[in-house]
Amino acid sequence: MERGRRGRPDLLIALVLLAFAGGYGWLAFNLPERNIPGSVGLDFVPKLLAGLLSLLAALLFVQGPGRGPGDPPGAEGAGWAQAAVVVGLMVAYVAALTHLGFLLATPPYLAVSMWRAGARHPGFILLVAVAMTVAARIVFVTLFAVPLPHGLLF
Amino acid sequence: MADPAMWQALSQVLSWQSVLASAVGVVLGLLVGAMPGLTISLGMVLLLPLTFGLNSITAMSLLLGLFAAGMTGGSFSAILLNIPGTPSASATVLDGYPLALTGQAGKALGVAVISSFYGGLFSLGCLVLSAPLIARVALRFGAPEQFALMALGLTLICGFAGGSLLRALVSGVLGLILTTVGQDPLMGTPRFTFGRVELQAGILFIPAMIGLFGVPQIIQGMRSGASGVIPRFKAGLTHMLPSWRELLGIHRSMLIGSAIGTGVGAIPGTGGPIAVFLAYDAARRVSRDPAAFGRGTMEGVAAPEAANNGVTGGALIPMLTLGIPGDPITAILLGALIIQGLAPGPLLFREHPQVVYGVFWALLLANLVTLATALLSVRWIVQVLRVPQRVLIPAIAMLCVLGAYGIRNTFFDSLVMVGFGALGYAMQRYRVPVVPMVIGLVLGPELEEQFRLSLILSAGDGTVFLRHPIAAGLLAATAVIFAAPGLRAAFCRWRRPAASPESAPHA
Repeated sequence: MERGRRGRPDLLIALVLLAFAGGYGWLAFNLPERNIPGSVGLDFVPKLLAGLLSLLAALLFVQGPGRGPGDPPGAEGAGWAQAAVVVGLMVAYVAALTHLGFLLATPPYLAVSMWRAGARHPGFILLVAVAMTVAARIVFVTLFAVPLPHGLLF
Repeated sequence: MADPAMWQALSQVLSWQSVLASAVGVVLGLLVGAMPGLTISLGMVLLLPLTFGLNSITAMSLLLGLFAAGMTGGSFSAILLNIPGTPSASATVLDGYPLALTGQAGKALGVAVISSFYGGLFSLGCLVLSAPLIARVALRFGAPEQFALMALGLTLICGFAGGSLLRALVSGVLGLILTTVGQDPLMGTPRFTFGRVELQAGILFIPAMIGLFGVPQIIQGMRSGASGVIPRFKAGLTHMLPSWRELLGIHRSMLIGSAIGTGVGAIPGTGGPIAVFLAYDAARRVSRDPAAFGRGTMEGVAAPEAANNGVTGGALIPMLTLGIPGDPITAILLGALIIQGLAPGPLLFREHPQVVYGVFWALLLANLVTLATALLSVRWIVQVLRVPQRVLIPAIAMLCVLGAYGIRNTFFDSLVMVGFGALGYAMQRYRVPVVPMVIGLVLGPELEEQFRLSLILSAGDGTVFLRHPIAAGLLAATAVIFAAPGLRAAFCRWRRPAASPESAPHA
């Protein structure tokens, strides 16, 4: 039972990889044929890689349920929900940077992230969020001349 | 020794900008190394965008400072908290923490710092002596040999990635597939760009690396908000520095650790975590008191600490001479050189010798600054262990987004970073190693270019790889690594034909 449960993701990965290899291979076969005479074209390596990935996915499928002898246990800890929140917050931050710019978008992002990470004191969160924003601006722009996003508003 | 490029490089490394960059890199490296959960790779990849405005030698001073010091900093939390700050400090906990429990934390930290310096200098010596020779040989390599060498390097990295070779190969092939997006390396024709201008230049590996290394750590770190509790210890130089007699007692361990670290570091795909345990075991075998290992002996700290800094110079050998990064850290260094318009490999020694010498000097400077900074400021550096994750993790997330944005000043790269972060997390959950993907992303374009160049030069004859003896040998070695798990399984079955089904391991 345990073995079967553990095996399902392996088979799922194999199927996802097979589907990806199929799609990629289909795109590779539709690339324009612009060859240097006497050589292979720009589609050759993608076709080769699609075939190789299909082979590896098939081997993963055939290897079947359970872990291989050398496999480490899967990563412990945070779940998919946590991952979705972190990724969602980062995407929202990028969107906010686009429209608001670094100085307006960063403190709210840091504050929400700190809250999610377990910080609960509003004064502390506000202070740290603003201080980190200012410090990042000094390091990036003043010290290393790396521009930060301005956004449409600021 | 009369090469003027060497002295030009020295003067550049000793400029105030490079010395400052090295010092900043060292301090950041000690902090990153000391903090469990932060890796040197993450520190370097976050620092990479800041090097865009620097010249190549100053940029190398910054990154090598972080690399060398990060290895040393890993021992701080290993000794004080029984938690290795980096995977390369895993063996240091075995004797470092027992020493701390007996009130010798200060001395253990001092031995760790001095051993790291010793290992760093030893590996630098090996790098300086061997790199020009290897580069001279590699200059004779044509396209088939270069292709075969890169294929072998990538396969070795898959073989040492941990876990099943099959999953590592999947990761490596996915990395190669991603590099086919954008203009093809020979004719410049767009492939898989779906009409997006941003994809014309391909998927840049720096945002990908930031995502693959940074985002999974952010996701994990969001759960643990607490900070560490540092035990009290005496951090004065008189309490930290070992006596000459004690130094003589650990000298053999330092030498063994340095040699193993340098040798292992030079093999693509291996790196610090493997080197430190090999060094620890070898030092225990030759020790006059092997029973003391694991119960708190300075030799047990000296060997792994010399080994993990020995890795620094060793890992630079294939990266500088052949253009093959053996691990994520050297992949980042390689990326930094590429961003500066330089191509690591044998031609770098001929066309930009001052950069090669600059790397040598910068590594020496990094080791010297690490020694001084670590010994003089360890009591303050370890305070970073008090910083709660709930503050640190959001800051890292911000730096990931800004670091990716800073490469081309486009939000597209930030979104690519987030996408790769999600992919990296999924790979971690399904036990697929990310390192082969990173190396695939770095080597992919060059691998394809050399492969297709070989076929062009041989008028499409596929046997070109077999007609060149070096290429054929390297490809044969690649095939052996591919076949190794199957051959090993077959050998085991042959040795134990009568094994009962119950005793057979599950597939």
